[in-house]
Amino acid sequence: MLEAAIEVPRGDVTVAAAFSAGHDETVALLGPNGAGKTTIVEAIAGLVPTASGTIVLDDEPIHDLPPERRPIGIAFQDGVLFPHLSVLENVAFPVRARGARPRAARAHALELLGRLAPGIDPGAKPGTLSGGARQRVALARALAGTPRVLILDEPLSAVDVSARAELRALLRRTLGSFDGPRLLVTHDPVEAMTLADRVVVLEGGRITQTGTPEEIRDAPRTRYAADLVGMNLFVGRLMPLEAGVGVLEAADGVVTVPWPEGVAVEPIDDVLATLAPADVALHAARPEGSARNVIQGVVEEVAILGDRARVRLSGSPRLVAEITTGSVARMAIRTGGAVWASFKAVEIHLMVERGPTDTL
Amino acid sequence: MIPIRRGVILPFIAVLGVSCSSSSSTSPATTSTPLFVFAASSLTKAFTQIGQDFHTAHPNVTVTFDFGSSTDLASQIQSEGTADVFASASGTAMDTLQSAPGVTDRTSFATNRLVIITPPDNPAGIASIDDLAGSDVKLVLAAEGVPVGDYARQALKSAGILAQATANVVSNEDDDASVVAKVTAGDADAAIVYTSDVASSGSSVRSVAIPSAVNVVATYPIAVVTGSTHTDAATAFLDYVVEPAGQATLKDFGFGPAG
Amino acid sequence: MALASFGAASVLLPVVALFVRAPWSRLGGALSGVGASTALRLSIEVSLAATAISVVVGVPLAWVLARGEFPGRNLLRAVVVLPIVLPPVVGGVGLLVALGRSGVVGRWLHDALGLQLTFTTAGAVVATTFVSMPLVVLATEAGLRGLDRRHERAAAAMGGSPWYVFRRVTLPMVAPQLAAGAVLTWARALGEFGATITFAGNLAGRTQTMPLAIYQARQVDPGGAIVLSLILVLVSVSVLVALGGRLTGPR
Repeated sequence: MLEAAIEVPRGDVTVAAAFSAGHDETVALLGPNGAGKTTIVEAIAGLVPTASGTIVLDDEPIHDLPPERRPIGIAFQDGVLFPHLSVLENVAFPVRARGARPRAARAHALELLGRLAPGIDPGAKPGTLSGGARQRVALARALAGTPRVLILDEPLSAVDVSARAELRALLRRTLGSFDGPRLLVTHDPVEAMTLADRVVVLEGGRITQTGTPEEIRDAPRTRYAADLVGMNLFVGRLMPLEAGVGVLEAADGVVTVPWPEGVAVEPIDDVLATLAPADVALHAARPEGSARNVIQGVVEEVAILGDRARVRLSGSPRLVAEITTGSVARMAIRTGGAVWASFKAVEIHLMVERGPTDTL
Repeated sequence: MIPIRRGVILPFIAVLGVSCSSSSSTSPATTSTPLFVFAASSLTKAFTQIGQDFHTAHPNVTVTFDFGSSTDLASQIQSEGTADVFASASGTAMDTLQSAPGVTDRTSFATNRLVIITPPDNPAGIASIDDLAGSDVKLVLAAEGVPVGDYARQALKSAGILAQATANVVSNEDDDASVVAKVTAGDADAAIVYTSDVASSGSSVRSVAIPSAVNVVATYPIAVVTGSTHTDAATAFLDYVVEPAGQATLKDFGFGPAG
Repeated sequence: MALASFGAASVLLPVVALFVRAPWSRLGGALSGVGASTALRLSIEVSLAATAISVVVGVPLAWVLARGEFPGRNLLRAVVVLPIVLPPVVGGVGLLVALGRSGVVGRWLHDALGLQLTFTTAGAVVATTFVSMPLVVLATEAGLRGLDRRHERAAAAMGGSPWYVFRRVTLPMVAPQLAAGAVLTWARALGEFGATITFAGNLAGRTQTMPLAIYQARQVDPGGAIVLSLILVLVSVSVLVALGGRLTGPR
């Protein structure tokens, strides 16, 4: 069990995070670039100084130990393999650094390479390897010192799309068989959702949400989290409109919503509302009908996922709609084209209460 | 990396002598005659003084000195031919010049004798030239080929201790100034230099005389270099050096009279 | 192109002149007459010793300059670089005042330990090291500053103690700059004259390195001086060519 509660200065801001990872748990630190994910794992590894806080591994504080005495293995972003050492010596490095004989260290490294990076010449210099191969070697090196905590920092970011699926499978196997807490740093929601048992969402140096992938999918607390799982999120001031109906004045537009049950009819600040993309209908012309919300937008992106397409619209407010690929073809939806979107007020879910960690 | 061995060139411009020239009854010099004097580096201090005095007496002559090793100067005059007067520390350098391009008015103007110097505390207890043959004496000489170095070896040979003393040599210096510096710094126990080298050293070194019987007297010749375009001024300078005023200055700086 | 030709010519001309004027007819005599082999051997010994000391002392110094954060670091760097700027004679005088038998430190060395550096080969090494060490310090410091620190951090995270990281990651990664600096240091040491003659003196077999021998030969045998100069040129060029290609060429 790894428990971290730390504050790390980084430039003008302080990255603050408190979270834990159980013994057989993979926790993803998910957030946009610059959110402070790497800072947190480097602080856990002892590579950057913390302003305050504790890092406890299996009831044993490790935050006062120098980095070389923390039982942590890291596969760094881009690998950060030693350019002057061969692949074999790179993987043997953590073993030799901890005092093993070179011969034994190389034997251990060869065994790991055979398992994680078959087909890679152990005598090659890292500079000659592809991104995927480098990441495999980095993974082997992270495991070589038999650490008690495994940290993978953006393991797929420098890897070709073609090599990703295979490497993701390897990561899943490696994470699953590792005997101890695992941390996965990523900005990619698919990576987090598919590899992690629990997700810690990090934005602007703060944790904005923690939960299982399902929990976050069902109830994202921030625009970022909502975007990650394909959920439309509106945040703003809720104003009464008529009986049982209100308008939510979000920063980028106004939507008509049902007034939440049991809530006093008066303006409320900082209200969150989600809308599933599948509940947004698209039309080539202005639709007739009962939908309270009708918005004109321009198509920014069309992403095909099997027989479904996610269409992102710029408009007031911005929206993501999920429709069938057949509809995309029928309505000739293309990037840059104008389109009408409609959705019913009752499809919108309001969250009036907000947690203290929310930073919106 | 070229070491500064050649003496500093000291121009005495007419302006420097302004206060003196006012006492002169002659009309202000409309043109100043440049005079180039090449002199052995052992003469640096004495000739610098003489140059100032000469300029006082002849305000229309601007004397520029080039001090250096006599051998170097002689070969430089041969190749470049810019000197009006040459004052050498050895006859051989002057002989070189006499063969080409030739000299006139050659005369001896000073003598220099050898002397032993030690640091003030005399760590090796040097009391006579024979002590230079003692064991564990760190002796510094000028290198062979440098006049003072050759003379010193000659004196040691006359004293019958050349082999032992040479074995004590810890450094062969380029010139007498470097030899003196090694003793004033306290690193060498003893050295042999010219009396003129220590005349102005004060208490920074201690002198031990070398008996006349074994001493080497260096005779300094001076001459006007053939090809000089200012022979009048050159002759005037040469005369000034051998006249009582110049001789008195040389005596002050440790030189003996010629012949 | 024209400027480059001019630059190359300005370096080549004196070397070519040495070849033209060399007394080829009495080469053998000139060689033995001026003690060329003694001076050359001493030069190589002194320059290699000075290079070795410069690397051993200079690399930690470069590390402090590149990584240390303390007041007066820029002042320290200026002091370290000073021997490059100063005339070597000044360095020699300074060493004499510091380490001579009556010097500030030299007095103590002499009285307590019976050590005298002046007039000894060790003194020549000290003087040469003083003048040539800044080159390896500056090259190594530049290398350390240009290093991607992520590798050292990764090595620490892999369980490497600071010394282990320095030995197996930092040092190998600055090796090219360190080697280039060491070659420059060696070249500078081989040509060192002023500080050596001023501090250590000039005695064949003990402190008379090639430059000193060349200088002294000028007094008695100008032809011999040219021969000695040519030997020094040949030794320097062959070593620099042998190493230079490896240092600056494709690795």
